[in-house]
Amino acid sequence: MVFEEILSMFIGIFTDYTLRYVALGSAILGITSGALGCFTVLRKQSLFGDALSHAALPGIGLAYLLVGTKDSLFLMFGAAIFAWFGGIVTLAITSTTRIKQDAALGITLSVFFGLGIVFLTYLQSIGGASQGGLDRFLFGQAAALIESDVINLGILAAICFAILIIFFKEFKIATFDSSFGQSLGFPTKYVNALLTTVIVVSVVIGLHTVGVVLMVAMLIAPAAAAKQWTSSLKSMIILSAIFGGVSGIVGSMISSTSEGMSTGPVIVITITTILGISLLFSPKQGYLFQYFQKKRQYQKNFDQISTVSNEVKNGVDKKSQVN
Amino acid sequence: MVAANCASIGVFLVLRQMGMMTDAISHAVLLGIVIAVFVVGGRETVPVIVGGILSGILTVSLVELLYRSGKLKKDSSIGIIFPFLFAIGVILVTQAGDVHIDVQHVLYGSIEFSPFDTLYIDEINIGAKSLWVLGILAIANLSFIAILYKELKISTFDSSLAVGVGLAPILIHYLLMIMVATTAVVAFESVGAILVIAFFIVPTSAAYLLTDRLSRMMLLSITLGIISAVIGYAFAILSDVSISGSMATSAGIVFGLIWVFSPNRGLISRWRRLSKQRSEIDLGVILTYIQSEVKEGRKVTPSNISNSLGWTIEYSLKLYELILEHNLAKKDNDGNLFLTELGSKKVENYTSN
Repeated sequence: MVFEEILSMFIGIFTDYTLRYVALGSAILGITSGALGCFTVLRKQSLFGDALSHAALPGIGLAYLLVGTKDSLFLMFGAAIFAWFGGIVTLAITSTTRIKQDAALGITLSVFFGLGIVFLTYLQSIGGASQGGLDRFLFGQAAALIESDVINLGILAAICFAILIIFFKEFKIATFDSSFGQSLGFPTKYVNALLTTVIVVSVVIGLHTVGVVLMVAMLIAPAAAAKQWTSSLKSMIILSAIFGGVSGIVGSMISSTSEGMSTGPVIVITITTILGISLLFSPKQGYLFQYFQKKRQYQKNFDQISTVSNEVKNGVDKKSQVN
Repeated sequence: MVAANCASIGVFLVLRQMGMMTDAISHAVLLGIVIAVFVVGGRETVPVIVGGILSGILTVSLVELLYRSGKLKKDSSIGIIFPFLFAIGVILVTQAGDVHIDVQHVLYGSIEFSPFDTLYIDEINIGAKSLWVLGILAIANLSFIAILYKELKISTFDSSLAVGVGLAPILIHYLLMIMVATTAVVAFESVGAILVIAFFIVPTSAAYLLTDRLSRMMLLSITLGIISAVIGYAFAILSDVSISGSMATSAGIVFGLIWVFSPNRGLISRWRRLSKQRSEIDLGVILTYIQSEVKEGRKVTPSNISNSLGWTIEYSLKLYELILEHNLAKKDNDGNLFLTELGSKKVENYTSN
């Protein structure tokens, strides 16, 4: 019975109009943020994504205020600009004061988010019901994705991937050894800026589907899961993109089966489950493997000790015999 | 009240570099609150707070577990745990239609309604309920800090010393986290989860730019927190927007102003200091240059200076005049420069250094 249900869910992807776009949109998000999230995790900037996604909120409000349409492209543009600005402010605070990165992130995140709320409530007070759709950026509303949205998301994701492929070498060097890159003459500053831009774009894609608050999980969790299985950057990115895409599809399928289950949180729970499985079962790095390895090591040590002590004993016996 | 509460504890958070942990806790308390509401069936204050504290502790321990295992960095583990817990919380809220929690209010609060939720004792109105809860919390927070001030201070600045003298930094760490969770839960009703962070971190960071002393920093951050709360409130009433949102914004503006204008660590004073250092260095360079040129018997004119030192003519002229003004060098009858005694002394100083 369960099997039949799952089967019908799969068929649903191809037949059900809404579900198809929801799943497709979530998959696009998962793939992009999964691939790019690898860089944030490796650069120890995991929470940077969190600050960026919160900082994007006023951009959405302001874009709506200026343009007056809910066309997703304009809103995304506004969001991207503010997210970028938020990133710059964070970097400026850490580089010009003695405030540490975490506090700087907290400042950007909360202040920009507060500003965003101010814009949204201002729109509410002047606009009536028409701006109701803006609220969905808080938690995302994958269920409301329509064809044009998905096409926009797809184009943005394609651009991200093109940049990622073209500048793969530069990104890699900037991530692992930026001073080495600088000494080779790579324009590290520009590479970093480009990388931040691409991450901003993936964050903006995510605002549509999982929303401001949960976006950070989409960046970190797939990358962290992929990291458990491989140590090469290329395969980590591919694996992480697969994890992200799968959890996007699975999450949107699960949420479609029950009423009132919002897609974003379900996707996040799915990807965290994948991470949990990876942490437990991955070969070489997983908890289980390490547990057994430790046990085997103990056994080995114990055997060795017992043989040694036997030898010593026997040796002592022999000695006493000689005497 | 919220401002004062958060700011006093926030000092330790900023200094311990745990800013983002606050973020995590304030998101994750949602789960605890929701579960508490499920279990008890209402929004009584005490179970809600207990639930929030428990989920706060759960968050902190899960994060520590993940990152102690060495598989993930600390920031990654924070960034995974709290969206996970928050997502569960959101799903629980949306699944249970009969629970009266609005997810949006969790995020950005609804301080404007809190005065209506009043408390009655023997049918006498004793004022807004949240005000009382916050007041009690403020007393608890302040007494927590007052009692453990020394311990907090030592374990914040030198945790190995704290271990050495027999304090338990881990215990203090968790106590602090409990206070954070409590404050977050209580504040969640009035300002919402995310803006709690604004009050935790922003005024404190601003105070951190103004002073070096821990006690002064605490007072300052409380003051700044209250100031930004009042300004934010006034602005929100005037233009009919979310109060907590505008409070966070005004806190940001206050921080921005201090960032730019702070006497010792602000951007302006930093820029001044840097340019002063630079002109100091350039002065040394130009004096040494003049000395060596005079020794070699060559002429020193502003255009010569700008040519050989690679400065713009304007800058060379400016320094040239500065030197003459301060009597470091003089012109002879042909218009050539030579160093005065004062100038030579200065060069000696530079070269001996």
